[in-house]
Amino acid sequence: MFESFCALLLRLYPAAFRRTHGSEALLLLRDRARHERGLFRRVRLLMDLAIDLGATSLHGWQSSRPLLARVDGPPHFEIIDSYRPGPTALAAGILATLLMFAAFTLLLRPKPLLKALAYFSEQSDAETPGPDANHARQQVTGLEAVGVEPDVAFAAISIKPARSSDPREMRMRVLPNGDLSASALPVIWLLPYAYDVPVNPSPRLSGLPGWRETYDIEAKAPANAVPLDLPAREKRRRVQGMVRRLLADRFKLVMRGELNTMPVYALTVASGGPKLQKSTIEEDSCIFDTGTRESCHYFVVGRGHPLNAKAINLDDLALYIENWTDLPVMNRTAVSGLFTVDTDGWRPMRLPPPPPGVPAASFDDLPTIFSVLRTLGLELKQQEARVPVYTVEHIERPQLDEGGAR
Amino acid sequence: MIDMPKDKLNPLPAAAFQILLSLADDDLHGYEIMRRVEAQTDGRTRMGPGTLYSSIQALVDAGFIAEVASPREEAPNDARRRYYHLTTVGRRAARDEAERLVGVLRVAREKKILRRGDV
Repeated sequence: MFESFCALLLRLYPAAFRRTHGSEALLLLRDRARHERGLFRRVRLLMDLAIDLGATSLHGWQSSRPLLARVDGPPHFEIIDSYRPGPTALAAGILATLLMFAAFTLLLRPKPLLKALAYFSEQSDAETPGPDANHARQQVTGLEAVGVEPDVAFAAISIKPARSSDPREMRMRVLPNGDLSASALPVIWLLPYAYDVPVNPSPRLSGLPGWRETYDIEAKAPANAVPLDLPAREKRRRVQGMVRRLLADRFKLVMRGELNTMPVYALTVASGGPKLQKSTIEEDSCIFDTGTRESCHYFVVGRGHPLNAKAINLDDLALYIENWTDLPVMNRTAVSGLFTVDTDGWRPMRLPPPPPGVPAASFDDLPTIFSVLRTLGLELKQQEARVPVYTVEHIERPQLDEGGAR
Repeated sequence: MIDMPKDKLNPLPAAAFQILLSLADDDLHGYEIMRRVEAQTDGRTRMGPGTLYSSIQALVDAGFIAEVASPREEAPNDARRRYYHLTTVGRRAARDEAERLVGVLRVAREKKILRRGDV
């Protein structure tokens, strides 16, 4: 087979050479292939052949060499020397070809070629990034990695230092049209809203910054950013997109998201069916507001984190209880709509450590979350699932606005 | 005496000189020439078919070597082998080249580039 391969390579030689010495050359190659065995010798043979082929092609082949001044016979002309392109001419030809190709690319700008150039340019940046290029790339990477649509953005944003540092003043509102208003809000509270992750320390969100500055934020959504006739999930997704964009643009957030397989609790309907009360608030008039009991998609805080809300869906429920369960919680009920819930508090499965000097709270008198959910006709079943896990790779304190929306 | 072509064989290229030397004792075909040249140069020169046969063609055209009938009984598969013989002109050309190289050696020794014991 190796001999056949060498014979095949012989076909690359100039036709004139093959006509004159083809059969001899074939015998020579076969002799060498037969006698030079072993990997090293075979590789050496192929290299010799490649070099010889290049030299023969470069210098050309003539079946006969001219003779000088034959004095016998009738007067006639002999070609004393024949011209073949030298290395300089070949180099000039290659350069001219490259220039023509570059001119073609620039003038006509064929799209596939530009895409290929952009691709290789990105690869080159990845290998040798400069500081600014790297930061910009990270911004794009952060947006793309978590599926943010680059075109979805608040039309106007104002971020100022919080007028009050009292945590009781913390409040966040999202209107049905997508406008966002927040006071005394630490940035870590925007992350759970934007990415549907628990605000409590969670295995699904890591890399949070240690700084706890709070801000007053006013963000105006563009006209018709969240049409009223959209399904509830799509409305939320659009607002989340704008908040993610705000975080990326103003806080230079780079968030890496990946799907990991891990044990979870699946929120499911119990055998007796759901026992949920429909909310009187319609989705179209929903206002997310942490400062009022009449809020949509928000639980009122209480001892043991009772499930107390005017208008929540079961996605909200799963996300809320995940703050204190020992595993992530996924809504697998397929039950849609807004519901009013009001249960007892329950014994958290995990709690962050209390502040220094503050004794740990006790919740031993409270029922488990499993009992509380059963009163709603729901239950938690342990399963394996692929869940989104986020890591904050980069975040900065924002450039603050002195006055008015930016 | 036929004038030597002045383009490519004066002075003799190294490959052509080695081919003439290889044919000094025997008539050989192409592969044998290649192997003998490799042995003469301690493995430094291995000619591919293009280089070998272009050199052989130039030497044939110059009359330094000539194609001859096979000196031995060939197997049926090898009937296509072409054997080459060093002509008188070729032998003279090889001697001229060797004498030129001797002169070069002498200058190298005089300049103490080479010592007598080196070659």
